[in-house]
Amino acid sequence: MFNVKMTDAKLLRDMITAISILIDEATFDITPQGIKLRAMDPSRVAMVDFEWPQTIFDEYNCSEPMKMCLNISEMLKLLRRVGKDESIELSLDEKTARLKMTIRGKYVRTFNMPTLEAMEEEVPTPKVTFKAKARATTDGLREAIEDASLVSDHVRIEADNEKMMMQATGSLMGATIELKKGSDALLNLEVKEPSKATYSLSYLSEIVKAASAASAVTTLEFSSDMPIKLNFEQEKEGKLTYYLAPRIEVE
Amino acid sequence: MYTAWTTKHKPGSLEEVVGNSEAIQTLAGWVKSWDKRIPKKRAAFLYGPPGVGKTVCVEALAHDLGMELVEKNASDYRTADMVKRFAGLASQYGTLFGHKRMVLLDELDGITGTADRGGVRAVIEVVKEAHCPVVLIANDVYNPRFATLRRYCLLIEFKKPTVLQVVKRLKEICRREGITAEDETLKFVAQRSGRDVRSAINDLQALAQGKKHLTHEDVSWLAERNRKEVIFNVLRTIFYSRDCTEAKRVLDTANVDRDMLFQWIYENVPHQLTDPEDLAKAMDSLSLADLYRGRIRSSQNWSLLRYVLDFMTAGVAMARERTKVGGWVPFRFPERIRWLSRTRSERDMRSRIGMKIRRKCHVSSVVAVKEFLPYLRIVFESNAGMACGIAEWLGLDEDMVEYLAGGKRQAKAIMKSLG
Repeated sequence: MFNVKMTDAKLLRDMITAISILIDEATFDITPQGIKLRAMDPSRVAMVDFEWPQTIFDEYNCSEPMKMCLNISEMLKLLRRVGKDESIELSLDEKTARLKMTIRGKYVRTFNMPTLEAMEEEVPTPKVTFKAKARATTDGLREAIEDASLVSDHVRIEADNEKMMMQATGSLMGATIELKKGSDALLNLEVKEPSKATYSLSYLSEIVKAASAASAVTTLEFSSDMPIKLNFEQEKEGKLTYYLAPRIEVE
Repeated sequence: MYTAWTTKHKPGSLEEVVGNSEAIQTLAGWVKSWDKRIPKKRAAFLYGPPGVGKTVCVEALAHDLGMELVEKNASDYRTADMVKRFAGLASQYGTLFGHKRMVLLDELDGITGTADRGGVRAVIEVVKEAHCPVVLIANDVYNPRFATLRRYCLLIEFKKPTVLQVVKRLKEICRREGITAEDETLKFVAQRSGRDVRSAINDLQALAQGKKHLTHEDVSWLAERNRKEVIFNVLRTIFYSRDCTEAKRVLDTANVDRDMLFQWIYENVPHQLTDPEDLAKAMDSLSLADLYRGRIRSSQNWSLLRYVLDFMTAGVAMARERTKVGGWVPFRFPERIRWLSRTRSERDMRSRIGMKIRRKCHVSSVVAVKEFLPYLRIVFESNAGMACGIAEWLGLDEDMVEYLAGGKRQAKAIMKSLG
């Protein structure tokens, strides 16, 4: 048995949007304690690690651990219809293997969608020793990344004790963005060792854009030519973390 | 639970892969050369008949070298956008877990079959910019659509293994499954599969699963598989066969469109038969075939088809007398088919206008296109007022007017006075 209720349906919409950036089908791990998801994108350069404890929901009933696989893009289509001040209920019918979704606002609508065969692949957490750690406002980070996206599809991020730099070089134009320690956008910066690495802007911008709806502050951790970890701090409990592999540098 | 033996007994490492040791050596050498520097050819293109172990070999190699393999079938990346999104990212970025990476795009033949032509171009872009080994797999590397792509790839051919090699693999699987079988029996299975390892293993499973002992009676009914031969094989048989029956029979085993094949033969005859007398004879045969094609079309008497087929296969095959067999001459894609597809929209437009004229002038649309259209063009190009009247009378739409006027500006002028 699995059914949950949430007064703020927008919260679920934002979270599903954030997950949909990387994957089309998601296998959620559902336990009496909460919901978890860890998955890699098809090209295996990015990973999302998501967790919602049951306390985030207003009602949460789960009798036994189970896996539930959903077509995220289809689900998002339905969730896009969610407006302000609407509540949502999800319940899984195990006999028909369909998920029922009831949205209550000015009127009540009920959607149902099929669940898919769950994937068994276990994704481990990347083991990386991060040398640089920055805390930034998600909006500030989003602006900076959008600036860089104007000129290229990848960006080099550098950090030393004073500042964090983003450098994008496209075929025609280039951009340099500087975030000084203690500025409005960069709240904190700890650097054990000056680090630099290049990441995909298409993923970065989509991830930060989607996550900015659900988070105000982001922690970035990375090392030279190693993956980057983006942790979007949640207002309530819960976890939304992404990992992105670095670009392979040549010459 | 039912698992296919081809999956269950998939080679875990290169040592278990059947045959093709030379191709495997080349591939492994190329992948290892990435450790030193990026090789000139950033992609390896494995090609060969189905079921000879191309995919398995790449998977085993990645396993042996401890690399992360990111693989996709053509069905997963039908459009240019999806190719870029998946393969572009995978080939330029590292892994999250610190391994090296190899990207595999399997069943590339499928990508050309779809309407989206940008797919192959996107693959070329990915290959040019790749920062890690990219392996491509297809059955037919000489498909004209791969012409440009081939230049950027290290071509590695996978051949059918020998019957003995297939038998060896079948024996190993029998041992693991606890089945006893005589060599002769397994040899029969291997032969009947046409040395296709995958289908041999599938056959073996179908025949032997649940048994302790496999006898010759169990397998004897296995029919010879007539594999669909690709058009190149058909052409090869027709051009190099010295035997009428063989040349004729190739059509039965191949599932190719007859009219299409005619164009293929017609296009390639001058390149294959260089001796003028041979060429003349082959062309004579083709013209006879074409004559009968015409008669079938006008009389719908399909019993004449056998003459068309005999002339275009056996007739062409027997034309070779003086031209020496030697050297590899590539087959060309028929210009006519290319031309037809290039001019399709224009021909459509002309026949649509023809239909309009037909209705008003009581002539056939073919005559309308042939005899009326040229004059209409002159009128539409030079006299907007008169064109306007004609357009109104015939009931032409904006696209048709633009086509006849030969330009947007003139078309606008006509449409304006039309109101």
